[in-house]
Amino acid sequence: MSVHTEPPATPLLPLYVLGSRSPTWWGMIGLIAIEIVVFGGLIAMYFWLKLANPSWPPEGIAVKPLLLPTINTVILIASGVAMIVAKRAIVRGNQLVLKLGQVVALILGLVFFTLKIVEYSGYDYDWSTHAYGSITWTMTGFHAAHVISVVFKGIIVLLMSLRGMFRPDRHLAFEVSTLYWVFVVVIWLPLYFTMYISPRL
Amino acid sequence: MAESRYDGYGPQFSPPPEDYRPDPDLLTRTWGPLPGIRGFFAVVNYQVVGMRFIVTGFIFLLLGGIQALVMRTQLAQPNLDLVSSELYQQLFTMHGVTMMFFFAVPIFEGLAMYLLPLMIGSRDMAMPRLGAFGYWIYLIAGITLYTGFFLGLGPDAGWFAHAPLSSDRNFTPAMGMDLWVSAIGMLEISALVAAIEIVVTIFKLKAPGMSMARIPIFVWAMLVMAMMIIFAMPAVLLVTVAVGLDRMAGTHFFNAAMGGDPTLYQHVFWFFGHPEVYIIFTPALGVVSAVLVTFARRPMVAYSIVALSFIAMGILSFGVWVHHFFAVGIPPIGLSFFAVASMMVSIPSGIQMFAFIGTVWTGRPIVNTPFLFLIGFVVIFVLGGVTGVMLAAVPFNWQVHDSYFVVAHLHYVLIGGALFPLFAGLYYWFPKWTGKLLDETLGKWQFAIMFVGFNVTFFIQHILGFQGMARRVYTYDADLGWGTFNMVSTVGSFVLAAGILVFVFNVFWSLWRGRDAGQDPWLAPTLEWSVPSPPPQYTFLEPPVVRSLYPLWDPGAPDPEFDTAADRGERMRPQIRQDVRETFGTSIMDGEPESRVNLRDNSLWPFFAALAVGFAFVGSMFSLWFFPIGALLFYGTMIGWHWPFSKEIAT
Amino acid sequence: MPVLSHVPNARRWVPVTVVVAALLAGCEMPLALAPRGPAAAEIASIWWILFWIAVPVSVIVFSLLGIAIVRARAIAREQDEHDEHDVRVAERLRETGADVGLPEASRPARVSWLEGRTTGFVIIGGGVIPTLILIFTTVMTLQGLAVFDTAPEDVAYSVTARGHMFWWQFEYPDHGVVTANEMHVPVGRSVRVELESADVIHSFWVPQLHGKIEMIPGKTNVIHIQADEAGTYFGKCAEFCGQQHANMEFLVIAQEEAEFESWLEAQAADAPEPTDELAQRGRDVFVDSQCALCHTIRGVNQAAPGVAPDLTHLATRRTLAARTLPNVRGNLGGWILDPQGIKPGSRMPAVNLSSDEFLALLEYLDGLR
Ligand code: HEA
Ligand code: HEA
Ligand code: HEC
Ligand code: CUA
Ligand SMILES: [Cu+2]
Repeated sequence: MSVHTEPPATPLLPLYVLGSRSPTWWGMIGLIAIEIVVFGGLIAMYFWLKLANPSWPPEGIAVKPLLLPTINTVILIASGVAMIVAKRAIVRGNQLVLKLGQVVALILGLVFFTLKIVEYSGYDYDWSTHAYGSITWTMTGFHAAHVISVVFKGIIVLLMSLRGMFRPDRHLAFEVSTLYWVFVVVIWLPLYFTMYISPRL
Repeated sequence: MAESRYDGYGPQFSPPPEDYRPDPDLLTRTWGPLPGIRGFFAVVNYQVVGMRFIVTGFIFLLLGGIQALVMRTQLAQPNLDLVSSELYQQLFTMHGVTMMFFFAVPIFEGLAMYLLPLMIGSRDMAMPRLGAFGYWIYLIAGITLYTGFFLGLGPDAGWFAHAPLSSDRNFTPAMGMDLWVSAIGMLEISALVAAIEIVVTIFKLKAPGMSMARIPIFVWAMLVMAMMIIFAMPAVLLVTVAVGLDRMAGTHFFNAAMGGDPTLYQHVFWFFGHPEVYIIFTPALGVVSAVLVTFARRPMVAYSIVALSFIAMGILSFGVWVHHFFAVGIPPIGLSFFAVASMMVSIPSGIQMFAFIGTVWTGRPIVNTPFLFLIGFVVIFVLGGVTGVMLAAVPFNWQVHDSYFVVAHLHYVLIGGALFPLFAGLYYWFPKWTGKLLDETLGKWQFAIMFVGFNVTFFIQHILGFQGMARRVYTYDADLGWGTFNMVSTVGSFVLAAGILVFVFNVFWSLWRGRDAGQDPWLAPTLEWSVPSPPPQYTFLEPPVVRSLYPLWDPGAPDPEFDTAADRGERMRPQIRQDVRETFGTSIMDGEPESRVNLRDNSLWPFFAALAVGFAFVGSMFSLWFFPIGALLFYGTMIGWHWPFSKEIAT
Repeated sequence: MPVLSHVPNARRWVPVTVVVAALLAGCEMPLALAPRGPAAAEIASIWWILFWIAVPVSVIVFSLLGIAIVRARAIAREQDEHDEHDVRVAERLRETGADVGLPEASRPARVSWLEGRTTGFVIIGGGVIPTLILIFTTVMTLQGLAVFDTAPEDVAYSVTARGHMFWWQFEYPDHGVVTANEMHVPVGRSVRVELESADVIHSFWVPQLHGKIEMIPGKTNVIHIQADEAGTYFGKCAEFCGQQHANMEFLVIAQEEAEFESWLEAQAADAPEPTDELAQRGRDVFVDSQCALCHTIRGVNQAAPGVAPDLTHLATRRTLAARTLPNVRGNLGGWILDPQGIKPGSRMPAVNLSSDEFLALLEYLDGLR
């Protein structure tokens, strides 16, 4: 019997890792953290200005209508759900649902954006009418820019999945882009609450 | 060895080659730059990018210093007419902006970039292209700002540009403030991407075995700095955008007549502004710790308490922003809260000071130039810190707010708390970067001149503040009796500048004639001293593993009983390929090897992406339409950046 | 002055104060530490307490550092003399130009035993003791705040101070007085000052009477000031407000109450009728020129309010253009001819006048007592 013990067999290191094992994933978390501060700042500015003004929205500007934005919010949430479904699918290796989910999400994202434009072209005040207009147009505009940019990014990721690049254990690009998509959806909810619900409370 | 690129799907698990041996030539080819002028713009290596940050930051120090000297000359006597009031307001704004945004933050980011991979045993930063991108934006922002300044269009509302002066074209019709918006906007982006890169690198690329309890204090400091950037800088991005919109698009965020609120600006800006000063101070503390341990020749006492004090300082500093505008008429309850918080934020600093003293106490100190700068740091910073505590006492603050007392405080903490540590660090790491030692004698002279010059310049400004001298005045009347002290201060500032000139001379002289440093001239404890000076492009011939907090002093015993992360890393080492840019990816807390990380290589796209961002920001000074166009261009460059969309990116 | 009853605190410190200040400044007390009113005195007393905390704290920290260095280097020298290895290390280090003394082993083999040994020192010296001191300063700050939070009971007068880009307007609403760049107050009486701004943020600062409070557009801040001695006090805009921030100064003139009352009365009156012919022509010049668009002379014209200083009793003021020039005829003439040369960026344009017109105008304005 030998006194030496064999060192245990050395495992092989994977090259492709997902989630918190991957630097890229952390990079995306960092970006999201930054954006949360920006959106949080916008919301804080909104309430600050609300407190600084005697009436809010100011005289002559009606409270925003609720119906269209609410439908639109549901649409946005649905697009997020579609992305999550696609994400689940690729983990199971289901290429078809992966592609379908993304197509649905992209379409819903574009619908959201279009309805946004419809909604905003209906208002008879703009950002230069009053600080109220400044902050609400900025909040919406900033978020809409995010929707557009995830849609752009989504198109590329969709092209990649159409070329069959994603595998159950290798889809970091898709995972990260889903993460961001879901963030853009979720961050809309506090904005929605701020702009549409809080004036009615 | 043939391939130098991934061809799509690489093998998920590749067994180590049979004939593994470290191959410097191959590594050099893998990690080296591209040839020619293209290589200059495409290089992403952390040493190059980090050094570019450091050198550029230092140039900004000189520029900001020259502005300070012009201001001091103008103030030397009452009613001098050296510069016009118009130029003077640009001078102090440029000085503040340059020092806070273009010198202090980037130069410490540069130190982090250059030193983190070396200290944590990685072959590069986690996102090399992002680092290069950050540098190019920084450079574009600086060039934009200074072009405007030399055209006579410098920003002119002070470095913190309170609204509505800054946000209303009726009050600041010149283009200077648009320039401020653009330049600061770009700089923030640069700082933010650098911060992300630093955090991710520290999280994921530590050498096997380097748990969170084994990272050098310097790394802790950089981590806290980066986290603070991530949570603070977005606020200033927001506020600059709001100012830009007020000026360009006709919004009314800060226009009281239209429902806006000028104090809103101050809240959002200083929510960033206070953490900003600690963003500058924390990495300086990291430098201090690194230098101190080496020259005290003993470990840092109370390592974990010091690390915790950094974190506490980082968190607390987000709760004190109102102390920069106690005088705007805040309800007493708010004043009390922020006064208490501002006092509390001093406690971590007390702990740090005592930890430094304790380390010297238990150490065997060598008093050479870097150590002298540490002494200077403690003396000057403590004086600045106690005036900070005074400023937090609200009624007293009302008396000295916006006076030269504050100017004195801020230079005591900034020069004592950042510039002196920076010089300590430069003396300490210069041999690592260049292979040459800086000259000791010159160094000691520099220290002495700077220390005396500094105190002569700024101590007396406390009294000027009491005498009623408000800051940002371009001149003053003789009957106020401020002439003598201002003269003393001016003379001091030239002495201080002479000290800095000695350093500039020392650098060139030592590069030319300096003594060879060798690998480890100071017999220092951390990993960067285990590689040749200057470090090869691939950094480590073999990826290191770490078994103790001070790996070069105390290698730590390999322990066959336990399969520690370091042991495993040692055995896995041959799996890290040498023909492509790979390094260990490890777990955050324990430094367990988890993966091989493939780092992106040289590329021109970061440069183009920065150009696109510059196009958007610079153009938006003229028309907001440049912004969406710039965004589209940026989008295009992003495609190029991630190309090829082979299977590699799909990982 | 019941609310400020503990102000005499400040006086307790006076002897020490004088010595230290003499050392510090080498001359007389700077304004902020030579208070002439209860508010500034309260602040000065806080300062002296802070100062007397700061001095020992800094001295102790510096001494500890000094002792640490001297002691540790002595130990190093003593131990190292016997150790050949250390001598080698020392030589090696000396090659770098370092003055190393004689170091002992530079690479301690196992160093972890040192960890934690001085933790107590760090926690108590750097954490606990400072916390106690800071609790004290905090309580003092809160007490000081409470003092400022209580409005004095016997407010005698009320003034509205309005900051404009580079000049001050002072209005005594109860007396129908509007004046510029010079605020009169009665000695020993508490005056309520409402601070407003017409354009950007300014800051109202009279070091000998009160700390500074900002004047913010769309907002009114209120402070109470009181001067305990008759005299002329220096006031300054402290928040950067544009190109002529430096020359945005004013005077607070504290007078005995009777004197003050008669000043108020005189100021409330319309401008005096010009007596001689030249001055009468000057008045016509004023009314017909651009001057009258911006400047009001009560009884003569009514310009848009708040654009420019009220000139009704211009000649009673000590200075011109927010303490930029002493108010003497030569300066007045110079100012009218070339305001931009004297105060570049100020909001008054040079106005084209023939020399006749100019002389007449000057004669008139100089007589506005
Ligand atoms: C490196 C940068 C830095 C650092 C570290 C600090 C540190 C501190 N600062 Fe300072 N500060 C600035 C940079 C910095 N500051 C700048 C740039 C401005 C002006 C911005 C502008 O207006 O342009 C400013 C302005 C400023 C103000 C506003 C002044 C005004 O405009 O009215 C205040 C008010 O509270 C303040 C407070 C403090 C406090 C309480 C600390 C504390 O953190 C200090 C803590 C340290 C110590 C106390 C010393 C060490 C401790 C001990 C030895 C223990 C024992 C000590 C005691 C018991 C007291 N600072
Ligand atoms: C890290 C930050 C930092 C640093 C290092 C400094 C350094 C200096 N600062 Fe400054 N300062 C600020 C941050 C800083 N400052 C800030 C934030 C403000 C507020 C701005 C505002 O109000 O908006 C301020 C404001 C400020 C004022 C107040 C202006 C006013 O309110 O009107 C003054 C006046 O004395 C001053 C002076 C100086 C001096 C003399 C130095 C000296 O240390 C400079 C030393 C000299 C040099 C560095 C030059 C050396 C080089 C040469 C001599 C040339 C060599 C040339 C070649 C080799 C090509 N500074
Ligand atoms: C466009 C407006 C405008 C016009 C026209 C104008 N002024 Fe003025 N004037 C000002 C402003 C604003 C100030 C304050 C300047 C400062 O102190 O920065 C001022 C200041 C003064 C002062 C100093 C007042 C004080 O209390 O210190 C005098 C005197 C004066 N103006 C006289 C005149 C005369 C005489 C004319 C015509 C020839 C004239 N002004 C035309 C705007 C105007
Ligand atoms: Cu008004 Cu400065
Ligand atoms: Cu602060």
